[in-house]
Amino acid sequence: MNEINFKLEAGEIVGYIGVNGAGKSTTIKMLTGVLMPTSGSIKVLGRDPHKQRVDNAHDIGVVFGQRTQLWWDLALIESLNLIAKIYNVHPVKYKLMLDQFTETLELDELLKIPVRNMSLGQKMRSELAAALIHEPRVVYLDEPTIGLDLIVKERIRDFIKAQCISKSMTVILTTHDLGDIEELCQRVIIIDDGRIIYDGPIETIKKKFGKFREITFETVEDVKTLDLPDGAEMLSTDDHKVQIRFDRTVSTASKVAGAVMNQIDVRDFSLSEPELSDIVKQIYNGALEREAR
Amino acid sequence: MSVIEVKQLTKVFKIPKKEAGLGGAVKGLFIRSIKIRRR
Repeated sequence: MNEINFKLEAGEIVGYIGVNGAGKSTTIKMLTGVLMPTSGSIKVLGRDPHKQRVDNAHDIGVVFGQRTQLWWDLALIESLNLIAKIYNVHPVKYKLMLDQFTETLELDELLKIPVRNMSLGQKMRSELAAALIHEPRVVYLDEPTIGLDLIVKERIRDFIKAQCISKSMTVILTTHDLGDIEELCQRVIIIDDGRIIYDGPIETIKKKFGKFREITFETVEDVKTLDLPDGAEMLSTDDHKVQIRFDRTVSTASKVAGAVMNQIDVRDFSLSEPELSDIVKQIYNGALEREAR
Repeated sequence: MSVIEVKQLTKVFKIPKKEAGLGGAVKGLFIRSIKIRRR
């Protein structure tokens, strides 16, 4: 990692993104105090996270999507009780938080189940409860929705959003999921090879690079040519499948779908959003610099 | 005041050099024991 600079204010949710090995987790580890920087300085709530690691730990919450902080063989409620003791959460406050989390994250039936018997989605909901039960002021979420289905993802995003608004929590979210970023973050920091290559509003990224959508049509017969509205182009046509890309600042999905369906018989169609990784790839390839020129 | 402030943050991971053979293993154990004692 090389000369990273940024500042976060209370209540901000920032998407911290980059490909594997870019330095995201290293930053998080330094912010939590697990790693010491080679040079430069970090202040989290005015403290040095490494030198004041215990004090820092008291005010932060961490969720690593691929690791668990819950005790594998214990029932969730036992893990939560233990965490509340470790963080010295007042029993009245703990009861209040537990009731709130049980309701919003639907933990009722999970409280008595050992973590090893939970599904991925159930585990992630439990992880979030464990990370936030002591009301941290700063939360680091590393891939919190990895491998989850859309319904659970949505529930987790809503929960994070509500917690941030009600408690003015500051969140750093690392993810490869464009949906997470779009739903939760106003600001995004993109890191590549240990350097920040973009720090700014998510809107800028979306406007510049997320304007294309793709529609795939499954057709009754093979198609050679199609008359398409402005901003749309045929990417491929093969074996009863037609793939069309359109610029949503110029056209709409309904216009494109309508035009296609007026000309051919369609059995099925699906709309796909650009992957965040593709957008990030464009930025790595100097797309931002080209835009600035 | 900002909640998080990061300035000129740099992290370089040093990969420890390993020496081949029995001599290297003994040296490695010796260095490790010193580190443990220092803790």
